[in-house]
Amino acid sequence: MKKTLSLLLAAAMTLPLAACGSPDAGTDDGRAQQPGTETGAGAENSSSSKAGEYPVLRYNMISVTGDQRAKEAEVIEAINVILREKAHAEIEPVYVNFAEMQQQMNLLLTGGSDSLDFFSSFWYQPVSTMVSNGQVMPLDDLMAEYGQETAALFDGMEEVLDCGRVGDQLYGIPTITAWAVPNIYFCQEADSEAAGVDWSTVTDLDSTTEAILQLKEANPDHYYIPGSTEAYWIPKGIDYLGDQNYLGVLTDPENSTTVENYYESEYFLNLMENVKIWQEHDVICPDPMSNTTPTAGCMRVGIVSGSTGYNWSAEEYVNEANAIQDFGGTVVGTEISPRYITTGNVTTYMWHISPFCKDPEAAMRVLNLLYTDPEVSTLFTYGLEGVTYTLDENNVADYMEGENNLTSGWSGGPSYIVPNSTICPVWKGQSPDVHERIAESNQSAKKSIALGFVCDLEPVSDQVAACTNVIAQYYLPLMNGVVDIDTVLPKFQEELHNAGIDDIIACKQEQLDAWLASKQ
Amino acid sequence: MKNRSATKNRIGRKLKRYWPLYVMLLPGAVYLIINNYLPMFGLMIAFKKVNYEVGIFRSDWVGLSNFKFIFATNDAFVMFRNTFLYNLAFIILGNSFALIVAIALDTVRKRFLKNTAQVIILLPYLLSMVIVTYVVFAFLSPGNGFVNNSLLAPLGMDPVEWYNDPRPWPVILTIVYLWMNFGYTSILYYSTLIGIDKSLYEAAVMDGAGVLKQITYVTLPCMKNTMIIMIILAVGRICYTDFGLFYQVPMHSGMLYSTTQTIDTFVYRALLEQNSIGRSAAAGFLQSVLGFILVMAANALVSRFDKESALI
Amino acid sequence: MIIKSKAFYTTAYVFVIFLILICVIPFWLLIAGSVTSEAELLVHGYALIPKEVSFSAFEFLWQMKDGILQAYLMSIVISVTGVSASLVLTTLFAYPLSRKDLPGRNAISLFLFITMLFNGGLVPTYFVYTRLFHIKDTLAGMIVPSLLMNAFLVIMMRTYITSSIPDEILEAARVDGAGEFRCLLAIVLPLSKPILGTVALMTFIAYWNNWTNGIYYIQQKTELHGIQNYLKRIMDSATMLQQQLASSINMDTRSIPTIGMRMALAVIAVIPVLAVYPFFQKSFVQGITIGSVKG
Repeated sequence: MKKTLSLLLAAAMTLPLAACGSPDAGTDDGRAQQPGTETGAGAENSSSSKAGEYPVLRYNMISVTGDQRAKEAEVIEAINVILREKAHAEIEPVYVNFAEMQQQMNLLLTGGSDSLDFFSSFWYQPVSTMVSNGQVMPLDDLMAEYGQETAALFDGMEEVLDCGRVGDQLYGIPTITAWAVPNIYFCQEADSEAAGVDWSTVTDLDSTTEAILQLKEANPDHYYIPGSTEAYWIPKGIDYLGDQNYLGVLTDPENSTTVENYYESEYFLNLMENVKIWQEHDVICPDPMSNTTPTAGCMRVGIVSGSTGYNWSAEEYVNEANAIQDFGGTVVGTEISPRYITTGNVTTYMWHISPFCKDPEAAMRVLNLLYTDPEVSTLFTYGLEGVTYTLDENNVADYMEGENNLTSGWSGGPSYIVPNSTICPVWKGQSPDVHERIAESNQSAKKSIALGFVCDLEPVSDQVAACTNVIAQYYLPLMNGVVDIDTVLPKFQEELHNAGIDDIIACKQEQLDAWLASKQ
Repeated sequence: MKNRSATKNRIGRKLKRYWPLYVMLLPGAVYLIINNYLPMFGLMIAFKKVNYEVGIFRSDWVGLSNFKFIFATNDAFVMFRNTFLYNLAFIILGNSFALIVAIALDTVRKRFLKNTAQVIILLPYLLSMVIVTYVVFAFLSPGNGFVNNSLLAPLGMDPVEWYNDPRPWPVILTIVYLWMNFGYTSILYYSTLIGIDKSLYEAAVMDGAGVLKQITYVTLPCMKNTMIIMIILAVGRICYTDFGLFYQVPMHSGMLYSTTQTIDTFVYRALLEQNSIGRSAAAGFLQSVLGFILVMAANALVSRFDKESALI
Repeated sequence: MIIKSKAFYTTAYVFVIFLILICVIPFWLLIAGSVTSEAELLVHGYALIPKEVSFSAFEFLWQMKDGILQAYLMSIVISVTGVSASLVLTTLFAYPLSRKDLPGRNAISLFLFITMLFNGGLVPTYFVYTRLFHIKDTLAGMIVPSLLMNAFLVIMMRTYITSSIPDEILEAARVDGAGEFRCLLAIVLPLSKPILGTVALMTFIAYWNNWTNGIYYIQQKTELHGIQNYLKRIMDSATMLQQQLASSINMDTRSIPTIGMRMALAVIAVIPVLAVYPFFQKSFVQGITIGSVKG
């Protein structure tokens, strides 16, 4: 039986190729003999002879287009020269197309020979899901042996590292970046001056609404809330426990450990009251339900003249934007929520080793260098100096003359996705002391009680599915103010109950309590 | 003994006669095995909690639990109803419209017009759903849409918030579907139509048949097989809907769910935040099985009256 | 049909013109959209005659003309190879199935039909193709998975042959000593030109418009991507650039016309199909019309 099947397969194999005129059969063989890395150029014989001695670790290079980067061969070879020596390993990028990320990552993490060895889970899946799908491996032992320096980065901030922990095991390492990102509001300076807004009084949502009304009065044709199919408000002033649907949140993450129904909380009801005011005064941009451009994008194309957002520092955000005139005119802005470090913020950017990794120890060594070695990290983030970026006399990095992030041949400047961008030179437009200030911001921000708590919603996944569907139906119309909030909100809340939101909240509460107890 | 050797002989004779046909079938069969049958081991994913680390085959069986989420919602009735009714409308309207178009194409004698039409009516089929979404939006946009601005306003009618009002969407989606697909279907019908032996028409005309008589007595009987097959095949897909049509074209507007939610959009929305290959496989499995049952029933019904037109 | 009724003829004539119009107007809207300035599109929406003409979308794309040409070429290679292979497979499968006397015909039909209803899903298909056949990052990855043979078209062709080619002709050929292959080549194929043309056209469209194979099976060798994948990449990058949320440090993204560009890309992608169509028309559809008139 088995024999016939394999015979059939053998016959089958030849057929499709023959049918296609097998234009690639020859080259295919050639390819197979190559040692995985595209060291290319062939300039350095010595290095290419070395290639092959070490495991070649594949990682996902998140690329907007999935295009190979023009200067890849040079940059990767430069990185590998160091990695061979310090980590006894080489790396090879696998381009993952942003728009098709979910599907491509699913395929690259199923255990085939083309699987990723280590990867960033940005925009992919929460760590608990990856653990339950068997797509990540535990890192504690590896970290203890090959990643002490990386672990040291989290000294005094162990809770942050814990965000990569599911159960007792560590499955992901957060990137070193700003972990507290309050909500901000920013608008065109011209509008603000016309209205005479005093931004020092704007500190929360209610005062933001007052400022918006002032803006609207002075500039009646302009809009100040980017209503869109992409959410313009992420509740950074609470702890939503890493749940994109906010089903069960801590609204007072400093003091209370009670998991609440977000959609019935004071916080959300107050938000809805503000939306009602916006609705009434026509400050939400027109046709929000058919506008697919998110927040800052709406500012860039001029749909709105003011927008919500979130950033670790409104000041830095506004300065950087103004330095390159990102929004056409000069903008002003301020922070409008408390700054909390929450699991949700931290887990946005994490790195993992897959269980299909050829050599997990080598992968850990590589990750350790990416987190702690400025030279490796800079190569990984900006590419090669003089090839993909330049440094000026103040050690500020910028694209090569006349280049931009599409043409530079490597990447688009600074990035939160890379393991540690805070050991790279600052990029043009950033404050010279931006890295110190990020570190300071991380130190001074309040930590949510639940920082480090990772929820596993697998036991209530049917309810999550049902609630996700209800939210898809009601949430945006409410947020965009295109329905009568007084009648639709109660219906929304009721549908959530029917869909089982209470089970989800109970599940979260139970896990949170157990986690808190274990921390004692 | 005699009997057996006779049977053997018959089989031998049959083999001798038909072996070239089986050889012809071989390449396609091999492709279907590779492309369709080998991956069908994936059907078991619907009953598993997949853990890639141990592999799909060794992952735990979880019975029917992956199927629960489809029914654990108040929307279950709405989405099943929408899926079936839309497909029914698409099958009936789509096929009859395409047939009319094919006949009209065949009627037109001006070669230039005939050829141009054949190219042009395929245009909508070639556009991606994203573009179709833009085109529909150009018509229905509440602020600047063609319908509100150029049709309703001159008539003194109030603009309609198309993306907030679920009532007109069954009509809108049906029109969009017909517009996109009639070209494809009518080209298929047309190729059958022009294959009809011209002498049949000549004979009908000799008997004094007019246009309608020619259609009823020659065209339709000759098209019958193709039409029935088209319909049976469509019945097999009755639980599936074009995701783009029902998700993108209504701009995934939540307020339109009562008339735009189908099984496919529900599964997508419900699993948006969960990477659950088991649950999506379960939904696909359910759709396939329902389709299979319906199609077998339809086929049995057809072959009862007309063995030749049946699929199997 | 043989038409003597003037009214019917006129009706058909008007109807066909109406069909052309309803298909052309939205397409015209598309072309108009591609040359309308982005601001105009955002503020006033689409118009049949753009108030403010702007070729910025095409200018932006012109910078990538080499890539676009290369991708066109790739698409042509993929489509032509795919269509040829598909025609062979489809015909070889459809003809035996059309033979009512073939033993096991029902079982084979069912075997074919089941593939239309059940599929293992993306991940298992990917497993089979990448682990058993190693087609990742090869041209075969663009051609073989899911597109090579379409059960729907096989069934259409089978139905066509059953209903359009009388058994008697084949029987007569067989009496004259023709083998099955000879019957297929000398009798069935010439009489099946319309359906062959249709199958070729539908397969061509499927290959031309396919981008999922490129996404799933081509990861590193993006030079194997056809036009759809290439255009998609351009579109994704333009959209991402314009909408970037996280980092504000970037090039001036306001100048990229995303909506207009989407329209322009659609135009670019559709044009070759329009160019190819008359070719299929001539060689197949008209061929049979002339042929049958002669016969």
